[in-house]
Amino acid sequence: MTRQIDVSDVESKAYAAISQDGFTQMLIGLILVGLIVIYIPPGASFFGDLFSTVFFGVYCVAVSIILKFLQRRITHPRIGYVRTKLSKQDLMLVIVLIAVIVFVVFGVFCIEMNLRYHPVRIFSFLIPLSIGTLAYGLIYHDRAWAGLALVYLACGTFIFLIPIFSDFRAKMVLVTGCLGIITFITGVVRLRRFLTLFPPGVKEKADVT
Amino acid sequence: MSRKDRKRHESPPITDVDRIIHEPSRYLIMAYLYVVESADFLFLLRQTGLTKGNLSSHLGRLEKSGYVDIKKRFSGKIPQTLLKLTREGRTAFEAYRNNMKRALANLPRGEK
Repeated sequence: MTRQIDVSDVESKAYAAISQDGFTQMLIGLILVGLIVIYIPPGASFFGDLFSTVFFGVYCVAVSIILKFLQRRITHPRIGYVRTKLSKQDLMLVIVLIAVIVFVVFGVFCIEMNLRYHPVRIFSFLIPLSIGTLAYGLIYHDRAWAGLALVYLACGTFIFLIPIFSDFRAKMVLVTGCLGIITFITGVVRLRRFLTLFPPGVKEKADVT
Repeated sequence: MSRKDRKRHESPPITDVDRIIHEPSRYLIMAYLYVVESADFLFLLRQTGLTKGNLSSHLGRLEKSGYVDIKKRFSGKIPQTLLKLTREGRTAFEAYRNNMKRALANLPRGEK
């Protein structure tokens, strides 16, 4: 064993191994696509109407269960199972992230008490999403998430600025759908690369100690 | 005796370093288990690049020393061996890293 062993290097390698299957991107992508349902009802408030909100909740749970199942069938037999822990630094990052989300959501909610469909809503959605994506990338030592955060901001701003859709709701549906599809495709590309690296025939069945 | 010399004298000698962790493969296993909460045998096998037998014997040694907790369970029909660093193991790993840092930092510089 001639290579140098550095704990921070080991940490980044371990965390990168966990997120290389692309299922997290797929999950976020599908959740974003599902979010469209909230913006479709005509009289929807900031959090959508009751039916769409309940549907979205059930949809999120169902998608998470399906992807967890797939992860157990595809990822764990190939690279193994690992449970991560949050370090103090990561915990700080999560706290900051939650604070930003609460601040933005609450702030925009207050604005929208008077202005139901206000353009600020796009950024109230984009900023926490991008910060969340960046934080996730930092915690899991994965630079791809930084790229995704930039794509979110660029794509959202572009759709917000183009004058094709005068209806704000249509813009919101378009932004959410585009971001969801981009994220899902990123996940699929990652999964394909993961399956190429660990082909189905090379599953480790033996578990010896 | 100058302050620097006294500090050098107080530092732990290299012979006091934990020999169980000092072995590179075991150090690597401990490092992986240190950064995660728990992992299974396959994950360590993939990450460390050791052979099954080698990894198994090193884990056995670490378990005997009380540094690693090994639990067996079934994931569906497939057996899964979950590995976790014990509190003692975590403390020993931190102590090993500190000892090595101090021992190496206080070595006299060789002449060019």
